[in-house]
Amino acid sequence: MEPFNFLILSSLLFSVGFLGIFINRKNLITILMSIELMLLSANINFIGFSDLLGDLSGQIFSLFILVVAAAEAAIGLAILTIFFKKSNSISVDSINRLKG
Amino acid sequence: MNEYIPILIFLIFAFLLSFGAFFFSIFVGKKSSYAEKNSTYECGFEPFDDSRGRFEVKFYLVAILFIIFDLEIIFLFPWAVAFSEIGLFGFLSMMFFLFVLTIGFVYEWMKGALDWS
Amino acid sequence: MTIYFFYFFSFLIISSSILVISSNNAVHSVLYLIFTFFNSAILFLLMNAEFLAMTIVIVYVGAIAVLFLFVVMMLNITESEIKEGFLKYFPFGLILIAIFISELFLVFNFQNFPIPENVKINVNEAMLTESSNTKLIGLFLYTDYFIIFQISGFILLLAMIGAIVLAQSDERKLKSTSSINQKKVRKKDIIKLN
Repeated sequence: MEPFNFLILSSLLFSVGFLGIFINRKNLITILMSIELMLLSANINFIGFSDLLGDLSGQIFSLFILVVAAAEAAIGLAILTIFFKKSNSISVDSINRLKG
Repeated sequence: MNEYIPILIFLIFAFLLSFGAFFFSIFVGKKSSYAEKNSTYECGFEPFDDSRGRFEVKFYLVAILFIIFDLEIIFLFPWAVAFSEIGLFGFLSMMFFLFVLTIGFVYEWMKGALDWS
Repeated sequence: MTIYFFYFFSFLIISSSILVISSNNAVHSVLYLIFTFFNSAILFLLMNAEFLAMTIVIVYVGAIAVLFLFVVMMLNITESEIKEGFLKYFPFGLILIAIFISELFLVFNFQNFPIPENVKINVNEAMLTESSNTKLIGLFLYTDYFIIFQISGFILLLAMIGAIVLAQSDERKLKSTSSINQKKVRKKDIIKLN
């Protein structure tokens, strides 16, 4: 079981990020941070398997995830800024304008 | 892994030194505080509003563009290290990548995202 | 020895990530997020991914966390209203997490985990001739994996253009005269005052 410690770590980290999405209904910024935590857990999985199997591909994919995380943070925070300017709140419950 | 031992020692010493300076000054330093000394003072006035004022969206745009170009630099590092062995294909691959990002750079220049009028 | 470092830094990662999601002050959340990323960088060093460790410090701590801090400062949120609805959603999230983790433990049969014989890029073989992790990534990222590389270029372009379109406001706030518009004024548009 010892070489698979990183799997337990990353599943715990993913769960923490998942829980963060649930309990922070009033704060979109923390939800974005929880998504960053979940992406980090995916990164830990990739790097751990890369170390376990002696394969470099995991590290290259992890670099790709890093790019995706940066793009997600940039666009998500831009949307958040616009939303705050329009509605003066960052609560999830007030995002219901897309209902038409 | 052994080549990171000096960094670990450096980190431990930096940690100890900064925390030592911080807490040592709290516990050892002589303090004489009274209400007037602890109150906020801003050019003779009471402060008008919260110090955490909002600032402009322009700063935020600069921060986003910094992230994008930061990642571009990250991709340039291994390319520079391995440049002599990846041949023409690696060179052209990186040139296409830079071309795509230059399109974005020209776009932001044209949109005036870098202007501070 | 390494395994104890692994446990220590894993513990720090988990505890600081719990603090990220449970902290009332958004600034504290961002600082705990920075701490989490820093510890995971050390974890990546322990897993022989040196370039990724440095990249995480530069990109996450240096850029993304700063961006989060910017937004927290920019929006200026009051702290009191943030933790409403905690008790309402917490049990449901806990149930989903329990399902998720039990599924993972059912899927991963740790005793006879299938380890493939032939891997795509064998690090141990490649490390005989090369000594640097960065160079090894460079040897394969731009040739064998160039599709991933180009896709990440397009994702960066998308993020750049999307952020500019979303965040830039066109309206000019300053009152100023434009000499070009002054030259374009025609005679019939001018109001004559007698």
